[in-house]
Amino acid sequence: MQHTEYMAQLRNRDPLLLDELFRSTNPQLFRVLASNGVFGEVSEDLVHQTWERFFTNLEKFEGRSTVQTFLCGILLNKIREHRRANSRIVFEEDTELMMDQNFTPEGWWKNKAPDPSALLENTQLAGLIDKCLEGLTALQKSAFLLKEVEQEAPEDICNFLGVSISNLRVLIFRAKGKLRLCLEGAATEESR
Amino acid sequence: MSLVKKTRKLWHDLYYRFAGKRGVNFALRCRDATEIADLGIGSIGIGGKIRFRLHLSLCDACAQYQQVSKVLGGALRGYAAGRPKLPDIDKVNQDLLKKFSSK
Repeated sequence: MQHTEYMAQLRNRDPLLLDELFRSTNPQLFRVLASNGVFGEVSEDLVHQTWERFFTNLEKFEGRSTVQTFLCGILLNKIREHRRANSRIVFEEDTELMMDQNFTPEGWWKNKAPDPSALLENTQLAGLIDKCLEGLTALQKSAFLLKEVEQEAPEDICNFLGVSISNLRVLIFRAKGKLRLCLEGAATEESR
Repeated sequence: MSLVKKTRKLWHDLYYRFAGKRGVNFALRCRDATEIADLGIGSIGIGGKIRFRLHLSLCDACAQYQQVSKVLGGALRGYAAGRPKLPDIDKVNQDLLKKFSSK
């Protein structure tokens, strides 16, 4: 379907098109919300707000990304607004700088990765994760949980979050690093 | 040092002593290997998989990184299993259709 024809149908709020769009997109929106720890009525409310914003800003959608990516961008903003209201915002980071801090220019580790046995020894790992996930940015959390929990293909995650594959890798790498550090710290605290 | 680590170190020294620069390239760099560990090996070819496995067999740091990734992934799935269930998406879809559809 041509973009202009598709947009005309969207503007006219064609029921068949909307039905198909809701069915194909909403499960992903709810998975992104779940990956950010938003459930229940709040998640439904944010999905409604996302669609409202989408239809209000329909003219801004130029078809350069997919509708799903456009919607996910709105949703992530909504999650940020929600977090800001609850004072739980974590700002995005300089990704290239972060990679340079971990690897030499030749591509080798600067510092050896830690021994995972320290994590394995912590029997209450799952209980601590909730706390540690709060330290991730919305995008890091979404990327990491969509990959690890929902087992989505990297290409689909990129498409939905509107990031490149190299950016996705950085998001996942950083999320793992932050979680590991947080869990190690929490495990040390618990053992005291 | 565990037997696995000892074997990996021996294999590492042997490989880098005799394989030279061409061999090092074949076995990937840590940055590339961790990228594969992060994104999953599903989308890479058989050659890439061999190179990745070879790198892990040589590099203790990346082998540990891969293990940490597996531990975190498993723990996250365990954590996710205890999360509240997703809402009834069909009902949400119907509500949205009523709200936004032209009919």
